[in-house]
Amino acid sequence: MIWLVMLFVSAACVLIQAAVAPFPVLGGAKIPLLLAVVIYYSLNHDTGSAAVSALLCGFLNDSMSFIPIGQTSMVFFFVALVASRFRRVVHGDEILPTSLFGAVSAAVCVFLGYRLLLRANLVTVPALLLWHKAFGSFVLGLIATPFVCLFIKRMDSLVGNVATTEVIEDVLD
Amino acid sequence: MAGSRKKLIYIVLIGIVVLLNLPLPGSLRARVVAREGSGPFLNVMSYVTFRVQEGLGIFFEAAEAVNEKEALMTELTSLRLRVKESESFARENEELRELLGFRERQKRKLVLAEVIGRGDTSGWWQTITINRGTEDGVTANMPVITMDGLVGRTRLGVARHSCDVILITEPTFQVACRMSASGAYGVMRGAGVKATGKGDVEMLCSASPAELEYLDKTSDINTGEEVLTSGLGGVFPEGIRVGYVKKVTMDESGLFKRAQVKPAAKLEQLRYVFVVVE
Repeated sequence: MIWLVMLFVSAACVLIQAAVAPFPVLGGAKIPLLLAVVIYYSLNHDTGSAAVSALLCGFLNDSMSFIPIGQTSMVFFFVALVASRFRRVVHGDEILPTSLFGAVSAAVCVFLGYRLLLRANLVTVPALLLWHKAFGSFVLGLIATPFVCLFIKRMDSLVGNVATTEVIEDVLD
Repeated sequence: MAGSRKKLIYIVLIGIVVLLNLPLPGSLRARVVAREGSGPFLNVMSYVTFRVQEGLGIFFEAAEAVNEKEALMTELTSLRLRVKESESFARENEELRELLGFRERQKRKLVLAEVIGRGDTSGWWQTITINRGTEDGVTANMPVITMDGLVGRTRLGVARHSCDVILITEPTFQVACRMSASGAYGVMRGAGVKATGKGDVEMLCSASPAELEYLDKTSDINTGEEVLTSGLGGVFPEGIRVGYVKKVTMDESGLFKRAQVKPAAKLEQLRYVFVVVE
Protein backbone atom coordinates (compact mmCIF):
# COMPACT_ATOMS: atom_id res chain seq x y z
CA MET A 1 0.00 0.00 0.00
CA ILE A 2 2.99 2.33 0.60
CA TRP A 3 3.86 2.16 -3.11
CA LEU A 4 0.32 2.92 -4.18
CA VAL A 5 0.15 6.04 -2.01
CA MET A 6 3.64 7.04 -3.18
CA LEU A 7 2.64 6.66 -6.81
CA PHE A 8 -0.59 8.60 -6.38
CA VAL A 9 1.00 11.44 -4.42
CA SER A 10 3.99 11.73 -6.79
CA ALA A 11 1.70 11.86 -9.83
CA ALA A 12 -0.48 14.52 -8.21
CA CYS A 13 2.57 16.56 -7.18
CA VAL A 14 4.21 16.49 -10.61
CA LEU A 15 0.97 17.71 -12.20
CA ILE A 16 0.61 20.58 -9.76
CA GLN A 17 4.31 21.45 -10.06
CA ALA A 18 3.99 21.50 -13.86
CA ALA A 19 0.77 23.52 -13.90
CA VAL A 20 1.75 26.22 -11.41
CA ALA A 21 3.87 28.95 -12.99
CA PRO A 22 7.33 29.71 -11.59
CA PHE A 23 7.63 32.71 -9.29
CA PRO A 24 9.82 35.41 -10.87
CA VAL A 25 9.88 37.35 -7.58
CA LEU A 26 11.57 34.28 -6.10
CA GLY A 27 14.12 33.89 -8.88
CA GLY A 28 11.87 31.72 -11.05
CA ALA A 29 11.67 29.00 -8.41
CA LYS A 30 9.02 26.31 -8.66
CA ILE A 31 7.14 24.88 -5.69
CA PRO A 32 9.31 21.86 -4.70
CA LEU A 33 6.41 19.46 -4.20
CA LEU A 34 8.23 16.37 -5.52
CA LEU A 35 11.16 17.07 -3.21
CA ALA A 36 8.69 17.35 -0.33
CA VAL A 37 7.47 13.83 -1.18
CA VAL A 38 11.05 12.54 -1.00
CA ILE A 39 11.57 14.37 2.32
CA TYR A 40 8.40 12.80 3.70
CA TYR A 41 9.46 9.26 2.83
CA SER A 42 12.97 9.91 4.13
CA LEU A 43 11.75 11.21 7.48
CA ASN A 44 8.82 8.87 8.00
CA HIS A 45 9.65 5.58 6.29
CA ASP A 46 12.64 3.29 5.84
CA THR A 47 15.60 4.22 3.64
CA GLY A 48 14.47 1.79 0.92
CA SER A 49 11.15 3.62 0.49
CA ALA A 50 12.98 6.93 0.54
CA ALA A 51 15.31 5.71 -2.23
CA VAL A 52 12.41 4.48 -4.36
CA SER A 53 10.56 7.78 -3.87
CA ALA A 54 13.74 9.61 -4.95
CA LEU A 55 13.96 7.51 -8.11
CA LEU A 56 10.27 7.93 -8.93
CA CYS A 57 9.99 11.65 -8.16
CA GLY A 58 13.27 12.40 -9.93
CA PHE A 59 12.12 10.54 -13.01
CA LEU A 60 8.76 12.34 -13.05
CA ASN A 61 10.47 15.71 -12.58
CA ASP A 62 12.90 15.09 -15.44
CA SER A 63 10.31 13.67 -17.81
CA MET A 64 8.25 16.86 -17.47
CA SER A 65 11.30 19.07 -17.85
CA PHE A 66 14.34 19.47 -20.13
CA ILE A 67 16.73 18.06 -17.53
CA PRO A 68 18.52 14.87 -18.70
CA ILE A 69 16.53 11.92 -17.37
CA GLY A 70 18.02 10.46 -14.19
CA GLN A 71 19.80 13.60 -13.04
CA THR A 72 17.16 14.73 -10.55
CA SER A 73 16.80 11.13 -9.32
CA MET A 74 20.47 11.28 -8.41
CA VAL A 75 20.08 14.60 -6.57
CA PHE A 76 16.93 13.40 -4.78
CA PHE A 77 18.68 10.13 -3.89
CA PHE A 78 21.44 12.11 -2.21
CA VAL A 79 18.85 14.18 -0.30
CA ALA A 80 16.97 11.01 0.67
CA LEU A 81 20.13 9.39 2.05
CA VAL A 82 21.05 12.48 4.06
CA ALA A 83 17.49 12.99 5.30
CA SER A 84 17.22 9.33 6.32
CA ARG A 85 20.27 9.84 8.54
CA PHE A 86 18.36 12.56 10.40
CA ARG A 87 15.19 10.48 10.80
CA ARG A 88 15.74 10.03 14.53
CA VAL A 89 16.51 13.72 15.09
CA VAL A 90 13.99 15.35 12.77
CA HIS A 91 10.73 13.64 13.51
CA GLY A 92 8.29 13.70 10.62
CA ASP A 93 5.43 14.90 12.83
CA GLU A 94 7.04 18.16 13.86
CA ILE A 95 6.17 20.98 11.50
CA LEU A 96 9.08 23.35 12.04
CA PRO A 97 11.97 20.86 11.65
CA THR A 98 10.25 19.27 8.63
CA SER A 99 9.71 22.70 7.16
CA LEU A 100 13.33 23.71 7.70
CA PHE A 101 14.57 20.43 6.30
CA GLY A 102 12.43 20.91 3.20
CA ALA A 103 13.68 24.48 2.79
CA VAL A 104 17.37 23.62 3.11
CA SER A 105 16.97 20.59 0.83
CA ALA A 106 15.22 22.70 -1.81
CA ALA A 107 18.06 25.23 -1.81
CA VAL A 108 20.69 22.45 -1.91
CA CYS A 109 18.85 20.81 -4.82
CA VAL A 110 19.01 24.08 -6.77
CA PHE A 111 22.80 24.28 -6.35
CA LEU A 112 23.38 20.58 -7.03
CA GLY A 113 21.02 20.55 -9.99
CA TYR A 114 22.59 23.68 -11.43
CA ARG A 115 26.08 22.22 -11.02
CA LEU A 116 25.06 19.16 -13.06
CA LEU A 117 23.26 21.24 -15.70
CA LEU A 118 26.28 23.49 -16.00
CA ARG A 119 28.52 20.46 -16.51
CA ALA A 120 26.21 19.31 -19.29
CA ASN A 121 26.32 22.85 -20.73
CA LEU A 122 22.54 23.13 -20.63
CA VAL A 123 22.00 26.18 -18.43
CA THR A 124 24.14 29.18 -17.54
CA VAL A 125 22.79 31.81 -15.19
CA PRO A 126 24.49 34.66 -13.34
CA ALA A 127 25.52 33.88 -9.74
CA LEU A 128 23.06 36.43 -8.39
CA LEU A 129 20.14 34.77 -10.14
CA LEU A 130 21.29 31.36 -8.89
CA TRP A 131 21.28 32.61 -5.29
CA HIS A 132 17.95 34.32 -5.88
CA LYS A 133 16.48 31.05 -7.17
CA ALA A 134 17.99 29.09 -4.27
CA PHE A 135 16.48 31.58 -1.83
CA GLY A 136 13.13 31.30 -3.62
CA SER A 137 13.27 27.51 -3.42
CA PHE A 138 14.17 27.82 0.28
CA VAL A 139 11.07 29.94 0.93
CA LEU A 140 8.78 27.72 -1.15
CA GLY A 141 10.24 24.58 0.46
CA LEU A 142 9.65 26.11 3.87
CA ILE A 143 5.99 26.63 3.04
CA ALA A 144 5.20 23.57 0.91
CA THR A 145 7.00 20.73 2.71
CA PRO A 146 4.86 20.58 5.88
CA PHE A 147 1.65 20.69 3.84
CA VAL A 148 2.76 17.87 1.55
CA CYS A 149 4.02 15.82 4.51
CA LEU A 150 0.76 16.35 6.37
CA PHE A 151 -1.23 15.30 3.32
CA ILE A 152 0.75 12.11 2.71
CA LYS A 153 0.70 11.33 6.43
CA ARG A 154 -3.10 11.56 6.37
CA MET A 155 -3.25 9.30 3.33
CA ASP A 156 -0.83 6.86 4.93
CA SER A 157 -2.93 6.81 8.08
CA LEU A 158 -6.05 6.30 6.04
CA VAL A 159 -4.71 3.16 4.37
CA GLY A 160 -2.82 1.97 7.46
CA ASN A 161 0.73 2.54 6.22
CA VAL A 162 2.00 4.67 9.11
CA ALA A 163 1.00 2.31 11.89
CA THR A 164 2.62 -0.68 10.16
CA THR A 165 5.85 1.19 9.52
CA GLU A 166 6.06 2.49 13.06
CA VAL A 167 5.63 -1.03 14.46
CA ILE A 168 8.38 -2.37 12.19
CA GLU A 169 10.69 0.51 13.13
CA ASP A 170 10.04 -0.15 16.82
CA VAL A 171 10.81 -3.82 16.40
CA LEU A 172 14.03 -3.01 14.53
CA ASP A 173 15.07 -0.55 17.25
CA MET B 1 14.79 -6.93 6.66
CA ALA B 2 17.94 -4.82 6.62
CA GLY B 3 19.24 -6.98 3.77
CA SER B 4 16.19 -6.44 1.61
CA ARG B 5 16.35 -2.71 2.35
CA LYS B 6 19.97 -2.62 1.16
CA LYS B 7 18.97 -4.63 -1.90
CA LEU B 8 16.26 -2.05 -2.64
CA ILE B 9 18.78 0.79 -2.37
CA TYR B 10 21.13 -1.02 -4.78
CA ILE B 11 18.23 -1.57 -7.20
CA VAL B 12 17.43 2.16 -7.03
CA LEU B 13 21.08 3.00 -7.65
CA ILE B 14 21.14 0.72 -10.69
CA GLY B 15 17.87 2.36 -11.81
CA ILE B 16 19.45 5.83 -11.60
CA VAL B 17 22.48 4.66 -13.61
CA VAL B 18 20.16 3.14 -16.24
CA LEU B 19 18.10 6.36 -16.44
CA LEU B 20 21.23 8.49 -16.76
CA ASN B 21 22.45 6.35 -19.63
CA LEU B 22 19.19 6.10 -21.54
CA PRO B 23 19.81 6.59 -25.26
CA LEU B 24 18.28 9.79 -26.72
CA PRO B 25 15.31 8.05 -28.43
CA GLY B 26 14.55 6.26 -25.16
CA SER B 27 14.63 9.42 -23.07
CA LEU B 28 12.55 11.29 -25.68
CA ARG B 29 10.04 8.45 -25.64
CA ALA B 30 9.88 8.63 -21.82
CA ARG B 31 9.18 12.37 -22.01
CA VAL B 32 6.49 11.86 -24.65
CA VAL B 33 4.81 9.16 -22.53
CA ALA B 34 4.88 11.47 -19.50
CA ARG B 35 3.34 14.29 -21.58
CA GLU B 36 0.67 11.94 -22.94
CA GLY B 37 -0.30 10.90 -19.45
CA SER B 38 -0.29 14.35 -17.94
CA GLY B 39 -1.88 16.26 -20.87
CA PRO B 40 -5.55 15.74 -19.96
CA PHE B 41 -4.91 16.52 -16.27
CA LEU B 42 -2.97 19.66 -17.14
CA ASN B 43 -5.90 20.69 -19.34
CA VAL B 44 -8.30 20.36 -16.43
CA MET B 45 -5.92 22.13 -14.04
CA SER B 46 -5.44 24.97 -16.50
CA TYR B 47 -9.22 25.43 -16.71
CA VAL B 48 -9.56 25.33 -12.92
CA THR B 49 -6.70 27.83 -12.47
CA PHE B 50 -8.35 30.20 -14.93
CA ARG B 51 -11.69 29.97 -13.15
CA VAL B 52 -10.06 30.37 -9.72
CA GLN B 53 -8.38 33.54 -10.97
CA GLU B 54 -11.74 34.86 -12.09
CA GLY B 55 -13.19 33.83 -8.73
CA LEU B 56 -10.40 35.59 -6.84
CA GLY B 57 -11.23 38.80 -8.64
CA ILE B 58 -14.84 38.48 -7.53
CA PHE B 59 -13.74 37.71 -3.98
CA PHE B 60 -11.66 40.88 -3.71
CA GLU B 61 -14.49 42.98 -5.05
CA ALA B 62 -17.00 41.37 -2.71
CA ALA B 63 -14.73 42.02 0.27
CA GLU B 64 -15.29 45.76 -0.13
CA ALA B 65 -18.98 45.33 0.57
CA VAL B 66 -18.49 43.55 3.89
CA ASN B 67 -19.91 46.42 5.95
CA GLU B 68 -23.13 46.65 3.99
CA LYS B 69 -26.29 44.98 5.13
CA GLU B 70 -26.06 41.22 5.02
CA ALA B 71 -29.01 40.63 2.74
CA LEU B 72 -27.97 43.36 0.36
CA MET B 73 -24.43 42.04 0.26
CA THR B 74 -25.54 38.51 -0.48
CA GLU B 75 -27.74 39.73 -3.30
CA LEU B 76 -25.06 42.04 -4.60
CA THR B 77 -22.39 39.33 -4.49
CA SER B 78 -24.67 36.89 -6.21
CA LEU B 79 -25.44 39.43 -8.94
CA ARG B 80 -21.79 40.36 -9.31
CA LEU B 81 -20.93 36.70 -9.58
CA ARG B 82 -23.35 36.35 -12.44
CA VAL B 83 -22.17 39.53 -14.14
CA LYS B 84 -18.51 38.57 -13.74
CA GLU B 85 -19.22 35.11 -15.02
CA SER B 86 -20.99 36.42 -18.09
CA GLU B 87 -18.29 39.09 -18.54
CA SER B 88 -15.67 36.37 -18.39
CA PHE B 89 -17.53 34.31 -20.98
CA ALA B 90 -18.09 37.37 -23.15
CA ARG B 91 -14.38 38.26 -22.98
CA GLU B 92 -13.39 34.71 -23.83
CA ASN B 93 -15.92 34.68 -26.67
CA GLU B 94 -14.62 37.97 -28.03
CA GLU B 95 -11.03 36.79 -27.72
CA LEU B 96 -11.80 33.56 -29.58
CA ARG B 97 -13.65 35.50 -32.32
CA GLU B 98 -10.63 37.75 -32.77
CA LEU B 99 -8.34 34.74 -32.92
CA LEU B 100 -10.59 33.07 -35.46
CA GLY B 101 -10.55 36.20 -37.62
CA PHE B 102 -6.76 36.42 -37.33
CA ARG B 103 -6.38 32.80 -38.38
CA GLU B 104 -8.61 33.27 -41.42
CA ARG B 105 -6.64 36.36 -42.52
CA GLN B 106 -3.32 34.49 -42.45
CA LYS B 107 -1.72 32.94 -45.52
CA ARG B 108 -0.01 30.35 -43.36
CA LYS B 109 -1.80 27.37 -41.85
CA LEU B 110 -2.29 28.01 -38.15
CA VAL B 111 -3.44 25.69 -35.38
CA LEU B 112 -5.07 27.33 -32.36
CA ALA B 113 -3.78 26.03 -29.03
CA GLU B 114 -4.50 26.72 -25.38
CA VAL B 115 -1.73 27.22 -22.84
CA ILE B 116 -2.09 24.47 -20.21
CA GLY B 117 1.16 24.87 -18.30
CA ARG B 118 3.80 27.52 -17.60
CA GLY B 119 7.45 26.72 -17.06
CA ASP B 120 8.88 23.21 -16.80
CA THR B 121 8.90 21.40 -13.45
CA SER B 122 12.41 22.62 -12.66
CA GLY B 123 11.88 26.31 -13.43
CA TRP B 124 15.25 26.58 -15.22
CA TRP B 125 13.76 27.20 -18.67
CA GLN B 126 11.24 29.75 -19.98
CA THR B 127 8.59 27.51 -21.49
CA ILE B 128 4.87 26.95 -21.79
CA THR B 129 2.92 23.76 -22.47
CA ILE B 130 0.14 23.83 -25.06
CA ASN B 131 -2.66 21.37 -25.73
CA ARG B 132 -1.74 20.54 -29.33
CA GLY B 133 0.51 17.72 -30.53
CA THR B 134 1.31 15.38 -33.39
CA GLU B 135 -2.40 14.55 -33.84
CA ASP B 136 -2.94 18.20 -34.83
CA GLY B 137 0.01 18.27 -37.19
CA VAL B 138 2.43 19.87 -34.73
CA THR B 139 6.08 18.78 -34.90
CA ALA B 140 9.31 20.01 -33.34
CA ASN B 141 10.70 23.49 -34.17
CA MET B 142 7.47 25.02 -35.41
CA PRO B 143 6.94 28.75 -34.76
CA VAL B 144 4.36 29.69 -32.15
CA ILE B 145 2.72 33.12 -32.45
CA THR B 146 -0.12 35.29 -31.20
CA MET B 147 -1.88 38.13 -32.96
CA ASP B 148 0.73 40.47 -31.48
CA GLY B 149 3.85 38.59 -32.51
CA LEU B 150 6.27 35.71 -32.06
CA VAL B 151 5.97 33.66 -28.87
CA GLY B 152 8.55 30.91 -29.42
CA ARG B 153 8.99 27.53 -31.05
CA THR B 154 7.90 23.98 -30.28
CA ARG B 155 10.49 21.74 -28.73
CA LEU B 156 11.65 18.18 -29.47
CA GLY B 157 9.49 15.47 -27.91
CA VAL B 158 6.05 16.53 -29.13
CA ALA B 159 3.35 14.28 -27.64
CA ARG B 160 0.11 13.35 -29.36
CA HIS B 161 -1.98 15.99 -27.62
CA SER B 162 0.49 18.39 -26.04
CA CYS B 163 3.92 19.89 -26.49
CA ASP B 164 6.38 22.31 -24.93
CA VAL B 165 7.13 25.72 -26.41
CA ILE B 166 10.42 27.51 -25.76
CA LEU B 167 9.61 31.19 -25.27
CA ILE B 168 11.55 34.00 -26.93
CA THR B 169 12.54 35.17 -23.44
CA GLU B 170 14.58 31.99 -22.88
CA PRO B 171 18.29 32.91 -23.01
CA THR B 172 19.06 29.88 -25.21
CA PHE B 173 16.42 30.94 -27.77
CA GLN B 174 17.78 32.56 -30.94
CA VAL B 175 16.02 33.90 -34.01
CA ALA B 176 17.33 35.59 -37.14
CA CYS B 177 15.70 39.02 -37.49
CA ARG B 178 15.36 41.94 -39.88
CA MET B 179 14.48 45.55 -39.13
CA SER B 180 11.31 46.62 -40.90
CA ALA B 181 12.46 50.15 -41.87
CA SER B 182 16.26 50.12 -41.99
CA GLY B 183 16.45 46.54 -43.30
CA ALA B 184 19.39 45.64 -41.04
CA TYR B 185 19.81 41.98 -40.21
CA GLY B 186 20.75 40.50 -36.82
CA VAL B 187 20.31 37.62 -34.40
CA MET B 188 18.04 38.00 -31.39
CA ARG B 189 18.56 36.19 -28.10
CA GLY B 190 16.16 36.02 -25.13
CA ALA B 191 17.08 37.72 -21.86
CA GLY B 192 14.72 36.07 -19.38
CA VAL B 193 11.92 37.70 -17.43
CA LYS B 194 12.03 40.13 -14.56
CA ALA B 195 9.67 40.48 -11.64
CA THR B 196 7.77 43.74 -12.01
CA GLY B 197 4.41 43.00 -10.45
CA LYS B 198 2.83 44.45 -13.60
CA GLY B 199 1.84 41.09 -15.05
CA ASP B 200 -1.28 39.17 -14.13
CA VAL B 201 -1.77 37.04 -11.02
CA GLU B 202 -0.21 34.01 -12.68
CA MET B 203 3.10 35.49 -13.68
CA LEU B 204 3.71 38.80 -11.87
CA CYS B 205 6.50 39.44 -14.30
CA SER B 206 7.29 40.87 -17.69
CA ALA B 207 9.75 39.91 -20.37
CA SER B 208 13.15 41.57 -20.20
CA PRO B 209 14.13 43.26 -23.47
CA ALA B 210 15.76 40.69 -25.76
CA GLU B 211 19.23 41.33 -27.19
CA LEU B 212 19.50 41.83 -30.95
CA GLU B 213 23.13 41.50 -32.02
CA TYR B 214 25.30 41.67 -35.14
CA LEU B 215 23.41 44.60 -36.71
CA ASP B 216 25.27 46.50 -39.43
CA LYS B 217 27.11 49.33 -37.69
CA THR B 218 26.33 51.75 -40.52
CA SER B 219 22.58 51.08 -40.46
CA ASP B 220 20.23 53.79 -39.22
CA ILE B 221 18.07 52.09 -36.60
CA ASN B 222 15.49 54.10 -34.70
CA THR B 223 13.81 53.48 -31.38
CA GLY B 224 10.36 51.97 -31.82
CA GLU B 225 11.25 50.34 -35.13
CA GLU B 226 9.52 47.04 -35.77
CA VAL B 227 11.63 43.87 -35.71
CA LEU B 228 10.55 40.98 -37.93
CA THR B 229 11.82 37.45 -38.51
CA SER B 230 14.16 37.37 -41.51
CA GLY B 231 13.51 33.75 -42.50
CA LEU B 232 17.26 33.15 -42.68
CA GLY B 233 17.54 30.72 -39.79
CA GLY B 234 15.37 28.14 -41.53
CA VAL B 235 13.06 27.65 -38.54
CA PHE B 236 10.92 30.78 -38.69
CA PRO B 237 9.22 32.01 -41.85
CA GLU B 238 9.92 35.57 -42.94
CA GLY B 239 7.85 38.49 -41.73
CA ILE B 240 6.59 37.45 -38.29
CA ARG B 241 6.61 40.40 -35.92
CA VAL B 242 9.04 39.83 -33.04
CA GLY B 243 9.03 43.14 -31.17
CA TYR B 244 10.04 46.77 -31.15
CA VAL B 245 13.44 48.40 -30.70
CA LYS B 246 13.81 49.93 -27.27
CA LYS B 247 17.44 51.06 -27.30
CA VAL B 248 20.32 50.94 -29.79
CA THR B 249 23.98 50.85 -28.80
CA MET B 250 27.31 50.15 -30.49
CA ASP B 251 28.94 46.90 -29.39
CA GLU B 252 32.09 47.23 -27.25
CA SER B 253 34.12 45.72 -30.07
CA GLY B 254 32.95 48.49 -32.41
CA LEU B 255 32.23 45.92 -35.13
CA PHE B 256 28.43 45.91 -34.98
CA LYS B 257 25.42 47.52 -33.35
CA ARG B 258 23.20 45.84 -30.81
CA ALA B 259 19.63 46.67 -29.83
CA GLN B 260 17.30 45.93 -26.98
CA VAL B 261 14.01 44.57 -28.32
CA LYS B 262 10.76 44.59 -26.39
CA PRO B 263 8.79 41.45 -27.37
CA ALA B 264 5.54 42.29 -29.15
CA ALA B 265 3.60 39.32 -27.75
CA LYS B 266 2.23 39.74 -24.23
CA LEU B 267 4.06 36.74 -22.82
CA GLU B 268 2.83 37.28 -19.28
CA GLN B 269 -0.80 36.99 -20.34
CA LEU B 270 -0.72 34.08 -22.76
CA ARG B 271 -3.85 31.96 -22.88
CA TYR B 272 -4.28 31.14 -26.56
CA VAL B 273 -1.53 30.84 -29.16
CA PHE B 274 -1.17 29.69 -32.77
CA VAL B 275 1.26 27.09 -34.05
CA VAL B 276 2.40 27.82 -37.62
CA VAL B 277 2.20 24.35 -39.13
CA GLU B 278 2.82 25.32 -42.76
